[in-house]
Amino acid sequence: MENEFFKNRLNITRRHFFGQAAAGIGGLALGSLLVPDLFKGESSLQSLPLGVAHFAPKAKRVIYLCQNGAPSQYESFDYKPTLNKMAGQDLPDSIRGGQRLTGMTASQDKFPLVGSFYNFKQYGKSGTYISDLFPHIGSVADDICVIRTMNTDAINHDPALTFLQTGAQVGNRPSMGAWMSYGLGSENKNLPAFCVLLSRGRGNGQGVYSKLWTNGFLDSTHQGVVFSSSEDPILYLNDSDGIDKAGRRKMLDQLAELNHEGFSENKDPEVEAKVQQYEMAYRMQTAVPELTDLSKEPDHIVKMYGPECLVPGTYAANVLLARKLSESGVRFVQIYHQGWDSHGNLPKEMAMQAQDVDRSSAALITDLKQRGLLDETLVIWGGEFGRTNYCQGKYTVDNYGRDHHPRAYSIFMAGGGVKAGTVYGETDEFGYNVVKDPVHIHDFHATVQHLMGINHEQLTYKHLGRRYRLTDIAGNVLPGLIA
Amino acid sequence: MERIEKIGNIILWALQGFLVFLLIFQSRIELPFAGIGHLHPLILHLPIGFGVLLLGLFAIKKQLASFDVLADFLLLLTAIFSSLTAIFGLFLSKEGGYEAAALDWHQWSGVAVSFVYFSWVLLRRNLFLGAALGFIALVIAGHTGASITHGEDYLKFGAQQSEISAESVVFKDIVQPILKAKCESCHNDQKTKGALKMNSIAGLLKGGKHGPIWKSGDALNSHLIQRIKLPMNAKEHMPPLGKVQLTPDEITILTLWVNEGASVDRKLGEFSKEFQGLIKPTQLNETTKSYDFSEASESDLKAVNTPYCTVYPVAYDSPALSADFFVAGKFDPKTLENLSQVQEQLVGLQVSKMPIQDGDLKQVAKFTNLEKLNLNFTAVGDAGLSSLAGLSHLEKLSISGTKVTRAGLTKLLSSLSALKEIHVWNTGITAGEMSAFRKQFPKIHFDEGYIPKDEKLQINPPILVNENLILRPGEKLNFKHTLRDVLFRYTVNDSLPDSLSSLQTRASIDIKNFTKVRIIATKNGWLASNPIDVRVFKSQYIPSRIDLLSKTDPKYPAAGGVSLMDFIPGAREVKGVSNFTWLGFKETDFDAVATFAKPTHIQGVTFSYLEKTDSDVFPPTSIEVWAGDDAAKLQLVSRFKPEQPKEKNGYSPKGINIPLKGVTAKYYRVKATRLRSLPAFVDNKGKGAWLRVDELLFY
Repeated sequence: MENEFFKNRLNITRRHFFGQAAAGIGGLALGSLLVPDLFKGESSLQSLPLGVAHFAPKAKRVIYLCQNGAPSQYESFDYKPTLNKMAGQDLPDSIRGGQRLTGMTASQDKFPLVGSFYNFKQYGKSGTYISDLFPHIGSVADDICVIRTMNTDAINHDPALTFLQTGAQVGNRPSMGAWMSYGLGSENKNLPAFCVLLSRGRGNGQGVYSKLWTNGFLDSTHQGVVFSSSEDPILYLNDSDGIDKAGRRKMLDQLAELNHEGFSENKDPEVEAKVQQYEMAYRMQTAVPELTDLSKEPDHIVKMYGPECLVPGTYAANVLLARKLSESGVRFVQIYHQGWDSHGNLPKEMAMQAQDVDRSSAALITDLKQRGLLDETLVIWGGEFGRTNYCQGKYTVDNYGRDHHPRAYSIFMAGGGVKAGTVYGETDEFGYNVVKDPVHIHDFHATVQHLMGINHEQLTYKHLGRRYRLTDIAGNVLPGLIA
Repeated sequence: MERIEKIGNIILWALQGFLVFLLIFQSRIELPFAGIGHLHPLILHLPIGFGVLLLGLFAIKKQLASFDVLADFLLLLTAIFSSLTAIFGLFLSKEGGYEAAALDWHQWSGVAVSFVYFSWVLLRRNLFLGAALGFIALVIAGHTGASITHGEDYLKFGAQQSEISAESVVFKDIVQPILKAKCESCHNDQKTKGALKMNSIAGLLKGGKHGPIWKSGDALNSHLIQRIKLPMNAKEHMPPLGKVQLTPDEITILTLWVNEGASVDRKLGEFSKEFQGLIKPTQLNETTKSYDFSEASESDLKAVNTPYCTVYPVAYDSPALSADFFVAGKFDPKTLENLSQVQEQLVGLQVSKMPIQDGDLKQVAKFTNLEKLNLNFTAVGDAGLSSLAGLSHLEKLSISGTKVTRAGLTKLLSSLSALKEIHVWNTGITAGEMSAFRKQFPKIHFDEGYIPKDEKLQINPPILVNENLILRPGEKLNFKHTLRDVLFRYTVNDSLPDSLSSLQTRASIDIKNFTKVRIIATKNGWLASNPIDVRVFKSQYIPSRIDLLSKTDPKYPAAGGVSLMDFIPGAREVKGVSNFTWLGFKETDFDAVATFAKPTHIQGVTFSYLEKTDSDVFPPTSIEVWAGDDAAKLQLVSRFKPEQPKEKNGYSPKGINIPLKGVTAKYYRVKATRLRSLPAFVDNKGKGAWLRVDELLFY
């Protein structure tokens, strides 16, 4: 072991040596001419301090209800009666405009348009069109902002979801929640700043994978913590038999001492991260039982979310837990609900999925509102891309499927400084292309960060020789979305 | 010094020669090194500085010992750099886009500067005259140059931007300032890129070399908007890469202005609400509210922070603080008191679900700058609330889930003058009182939240508590529910329980022997849950040992007789993994004897086995129970013929209760006969079946 540490020290010196040798005086001078901020010291890497908002935020926390698998916009939030009128006719080439296809419909020689099997109604004072599958979300129409013009670069689930969550299609960048944790810190030091809850519907599902909630190159304290879908959301939190509180405390103190010693030897920041995590886990032993305790709340909270919210691992239960986590200061709660990938049998699958999420999604908004928390909590509902306006596979009036469509799709946001009771953006009458106010994933990220009080161009992390941000080198804050 | 002067002279001659060559042949040759002209603005300030310094030296001539050397050297430098500047300037002028007349003036005044200094380097007489002449030429060249780049009226002073109101003319007061700031430096009378002049209404209306730059009412087809909205790296994007870009708000303003008619004389009040909404003093609200009080010291901030109370600045440029309390079990009233250290700075306080009482609100009342206060689900009531009357900045109050009533609230609301919204869900306030409040305080937004509708929802099923469904003597079958006041109804005869007359329990059920329990949850105001089925085994008497008398198949030995009384339920098989939970019989029959320490009266035996007909695992064809106090002389006390399955099925562990009548014995021997010939519905028809046994229980 001693030998290992010794080698480690040798590494550091050699690195230092080369580092300094390479940075000769001439190089430094040239560098300062080319990069004006080069010698401003550490602070120039991060021009604004970490752990505090860059400017007064509208939202303190995010609850992201990610509808994994891409729910169809045509059966939810983008009302296109033209598709019903032209059902069965081919999608005009002028509309498709050379859009690439997935392997699943590339061999189709016809692209018959297909309208929504479900009717639409206008809801609220805002008159937002929402399909009959989502009556509860309709009932909160005046609290939400429907974005009809989301668009993305990817056309398949894995890259699209990775893009949506991390701002890049390849999976090595920190997730949105990790960036928030890094930029704003933890509000409640007794819980992770970034929590992940998983559930699965009855529709055709797509996988979720830990790269979606990764800390990437950031410190591992910013990684999303996945909660178990069992009755015990966090496993192994209780002390094992025969170990009392004092014993546990003593053990942690001793362990921390050893770890600090190790840290002074090898300078690995992950050691410090680990010590912090042990401490948090210790405090979580008190914090978490309070979280899962429903006894302080009236029974009708269950009626709001639907009785499914009492069945661990369901979407409704996760949404209720998300509200409690968020209320307890968790910066970013990420929910994934699988089952929206309706390549076939869409009317039936979509109805089952909607049944899973409609009531509880709407309840979350009402619940946050009645606690006075909606204005400081940003709720986001939506998937990684949309679905095609033409049928995949055989088209019949009551049974059809839709393939992936990246050019335009719908999501909604609520609370957290978002313009309530509005519809943002317009698609053409086929719902295929954006006509007005596109919202690219990068713009979406920039806007969400703005709502959280973060200047998306200023929150950066230097890695492998360059500075990264969630929006990488793109993205505009969209004032039209902000109240 | 001489050496330096010599070299300097050579350079100067070369530069002047090149400059003259350029001046003569500039219209006849194509200049190489495109882009080198961009060095012009980089170095042009050097000759200006040197020239001014040269003239200035004369003022302190007498104090300087080596004035001549200094002046000569400075003159040489000025001459060299003014020549260089002139050369680069000529290159730059070839890139086009400048108004010819203005450019001519600048070009020749610039050449004049370099020539004056060059001449005096040669003359070396009457240096003061040279310095003065050069200075005059510098001023002229400098001014003409600045007019080209910054526009002609750049130097006009005193132009103040007027306050914007509904009466403001949108074009003049909002649109033009944007164009002026972001476009005009390249599109003016002097520098006219793309033949477009944006410094006057006439010029804007006329447009550039592609015609008018906007189409009123149609932003998408307007050059102005198209160019702005192109991606940054597109060649046609405006303003070009590297220049100051338009902000998203400015883009929206321009777009809406074109879409709403591109009028040059309409007033702000006549534009759409959306447009007016954009024109706020702070266009994209990134600014943080400012306060009179000063920032709390870092040590104070550190002192008030605990793991269970986070006190943090609202934003990094704000002195205001927010405090959030978490984990009720760790709440310490001292932490709340400590906040007095930052009581001036505290604008937000969140203590929801904390065990705070009415009395604690006296402490909260000290935070006079509070704007947001969250008291949800605390024990505070009317009495405590009255202490908050002095919070004159309070804008948002949340008291959901508290005992507050109408009386307490009425008193408080009339004194909270800044209050904008209050959340009173789940309090003692009735719907009628709420509407009265709304009338009395029209400026306050009351949120009463979700009121349970008269809809009946189905409650979710009971949750089974027992982890092991082979119960030991004295153990009960237990259920729980996440909701309070739930009554469970159940049956043990496979029928559907009903919510009125079936057996009922609040938690636990006594089980006698192997039983199929079908149970539902019921609660007032809810529809009964779906039933859940539980198969539970029960042991009332545990023998001291069970010995297996027959041999198991080598694949399923388990642990022999012990496995029959280990209370470990049989488990599903995993491919490739040996299963030691079932005793398996393929060539032999089951035969085991249980020994009690003393003769024991039992009412029956439960035989637990596996049925999995798609793998040839069948129930026994008969089970015999033999009993007696002498191991060698047992008597047959019961014979039972289990029903055989009629179709293929998968993994289903089952149990059979074999009742005995009035038997008291020390030894109980159980024999079970394998099915000898498989029925037609399985693949291996006619062959022998498997028998798998898990437990042998006595009740």
